[in-house]
Amino acid sequence: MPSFEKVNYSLRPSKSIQRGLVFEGLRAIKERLALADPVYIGLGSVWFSDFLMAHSALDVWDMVSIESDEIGFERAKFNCPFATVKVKKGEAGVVIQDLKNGAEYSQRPWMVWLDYDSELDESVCQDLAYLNRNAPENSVIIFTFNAHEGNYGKPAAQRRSRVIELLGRVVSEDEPPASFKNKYGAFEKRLAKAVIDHMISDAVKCGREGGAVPAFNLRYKDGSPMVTVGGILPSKQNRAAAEELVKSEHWDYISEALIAAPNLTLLEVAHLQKLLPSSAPITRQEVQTLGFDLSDEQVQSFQKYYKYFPLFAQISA
Amino acid sequence: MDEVKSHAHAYPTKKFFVRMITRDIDLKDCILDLIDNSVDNAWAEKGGHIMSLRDTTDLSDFEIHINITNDCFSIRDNCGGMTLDSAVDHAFNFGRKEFSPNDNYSIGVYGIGMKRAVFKIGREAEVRSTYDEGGERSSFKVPINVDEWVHDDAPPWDFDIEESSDLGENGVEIVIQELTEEAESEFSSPEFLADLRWVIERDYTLHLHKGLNIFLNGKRLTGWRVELRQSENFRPMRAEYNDISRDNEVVVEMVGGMVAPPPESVDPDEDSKGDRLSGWYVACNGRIVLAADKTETTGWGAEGFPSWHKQYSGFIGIVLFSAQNAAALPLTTTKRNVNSSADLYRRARARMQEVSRAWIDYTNQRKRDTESARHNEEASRAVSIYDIAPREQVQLPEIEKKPVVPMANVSYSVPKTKLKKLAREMGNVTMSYRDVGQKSFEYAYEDYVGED
Ligand SMILES: Nc1ncnc2c1ncn2[C@@H]1O[C@H](COP(=O)(O)OP(=O)(O)O)[C@@H](O)[C@H]1O
Ligand SMILES: [Mg+2]
Repeated sequence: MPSFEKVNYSLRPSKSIQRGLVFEGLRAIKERLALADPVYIGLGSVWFSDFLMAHSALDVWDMVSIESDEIGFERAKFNCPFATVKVKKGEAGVVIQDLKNGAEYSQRPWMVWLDYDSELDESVCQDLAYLNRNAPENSVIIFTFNAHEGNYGKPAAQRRSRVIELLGRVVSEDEPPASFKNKYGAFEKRLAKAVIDHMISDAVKCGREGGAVPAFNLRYKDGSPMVTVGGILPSKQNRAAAEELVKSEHWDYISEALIAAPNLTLLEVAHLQKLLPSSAPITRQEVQTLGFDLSDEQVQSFQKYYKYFPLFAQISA
Repeated sequence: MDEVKSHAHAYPTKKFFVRMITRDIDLKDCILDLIDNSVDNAWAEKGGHIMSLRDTTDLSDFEIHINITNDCFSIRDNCGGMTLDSAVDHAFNFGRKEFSPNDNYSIGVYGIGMKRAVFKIGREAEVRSTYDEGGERSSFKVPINVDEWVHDDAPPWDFDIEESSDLGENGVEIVIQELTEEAESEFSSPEFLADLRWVIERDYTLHLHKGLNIFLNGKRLTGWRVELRQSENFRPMRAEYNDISRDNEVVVEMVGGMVAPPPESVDPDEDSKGDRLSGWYVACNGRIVLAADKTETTGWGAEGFPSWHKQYSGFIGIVLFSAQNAAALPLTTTKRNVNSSADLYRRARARMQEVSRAWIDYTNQRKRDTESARHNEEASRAVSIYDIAPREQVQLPEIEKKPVVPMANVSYSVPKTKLKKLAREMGNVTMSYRDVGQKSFEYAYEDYVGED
């Protein structure tokens, strides 16, 4: 099913939080590396949620949305939010090659976010390889994919073989199968690490002078567990700055924690928001005094991420 | 008139020299050169004798620790250390004397490895050694600042030796910092580290089998378990003969046979581990210098001989050359290949080709009745290369021609992602393409045609 057939995912809270974090990270990268005139490349679907953010949070003008579905393409053009967004028809790999070959985009840093719903497979790996080889210096490449363990075979040992098949020797055949079981998200984390290790190794292998600097590793879950990983492909001169940035204390975009936000009603959000910001943790009792109830984790999760929640207040205002 | 100038200077500059010796060697192979030195010392401590497949020397007292981070490389061993005399006389020389009394079935031969590794890896190094002499422990260190060192070309080229505190155990420690661009970039790659591990586990398989402990970033490495298949019909070959090269006696050992049944599919797109591991392995004084070779070097595609084909996967042959004086061995300076113009090696290669030939013939024959061939192959059990009984040639079953049922070969392409999804739903995501095709056919056959 093409993704535009699914729910409007700007309403999926964990996804929104993750998106908010990614763009915050992208903004920091853009500032730190003084990226001039970047191009945003994504899979805008018919919702363009990430494109709206790219424009408002990053002040990116030129944007390219890739759509392979026939009908989706027509709808995407119809829903295109800004004059500077171009919708291109085709598979991501092919469209990206066209961008590389055209003069318009080939000399500017790219911010590519291939936000898939499907699992990591050969074609995603091919996109990754292609971007590593062709993205201009100082580009940022980000991938989101479904990390549900069942998509990678079973039992765990077979899943390990599958990951080796996809990503090569960054995973070793004698690694204990336990890390490929999904207890406490072990498999999701292992898979994310393997993709990142592969990205770094591949950048070295294809002779990128600045290599690849991992910048994103997030897990979130509205339904299926999803993983977002990505990195900067800095120029040689920018490598040190990029490394310093992602190693800094405030770099929140490489995290082991699972983003699993509660589904809240507008009314609940509005009430909870009135208690924030606050340096003390909101308690369950406080929520109960507001007249409803949430589990401790739900309260914590909301407090941690409320700024990234879908902006209900704006809509209702 | 001025005195006639009749001599042209022919000294190299140090810069040129450093560039030349580091140019044609892979970073990993430089690291292996350092391991070779530790191994050589360990082997010498054990008496320095021939390392044949039969040998049972225990190396488990020895440890080599390699640590690699983004900005530092280090190797440390407890293999006895180098003496001050050896450091003064030859260890830091470029090039070894043709025959030195410490040639004890060593791997080192050209007298370049350690220095070359330092230059290849970084610009700031320190070699420290602690050793026993007359029951007393002594230590020294040799700091090397490459940028400073290359500054002055005037001979003699030397390094200063300084006093040092003792290392924990007798041995050598080399720490290299200020990494070269190449080393810095490779060391940041997890795949490089995985590859390095793979290569060490492969090339020191014989040493690891004897209990040698090698650690890479704290992880203990394990050698390959090389096993050939054996049954009533299948028997690997194992032969041994003595040869002479450059007036030195060389012992040549050879084993070969089937590691795994030949592949069902010879599709070049399908990556198969079996194929990657197949081919010839060549060891010199115990160290594997050529692995899984499928090229002319080991006879494939040489005049009148078939080139490697995926059909031949499943075959492994190992040749070991051992000599007290390593200069007699067909080693190249990088220890990543053999000198195939050496007569010693050519004689061995002719013999290797006989072994390969038997396997080629078998894989052709087995097409007559793959089913029973496979059945036979799978009934064999794995025997470690150390336990194979001597026999001149591989024994392989004769395959009878089966009455022919006319067969149709089906071949088609589908998107890989779809194939993988189907394999997954069929219960094994790593199933071969061929099996997915076969299963799909059976499924469709049953649906459309029903039982035979
Ligand atoms: N780890 C070590 N332990 C003892 N001696 C060593 C060690 N590393 C190097 N040496 C000494 O340094 C010498 C020079 O090493 P190298 O440059 O690799 O050349 P080669 O191994 O061919 O002699 C060795 O022959 C050995 O005497
Ligand atoms: Mg050496």
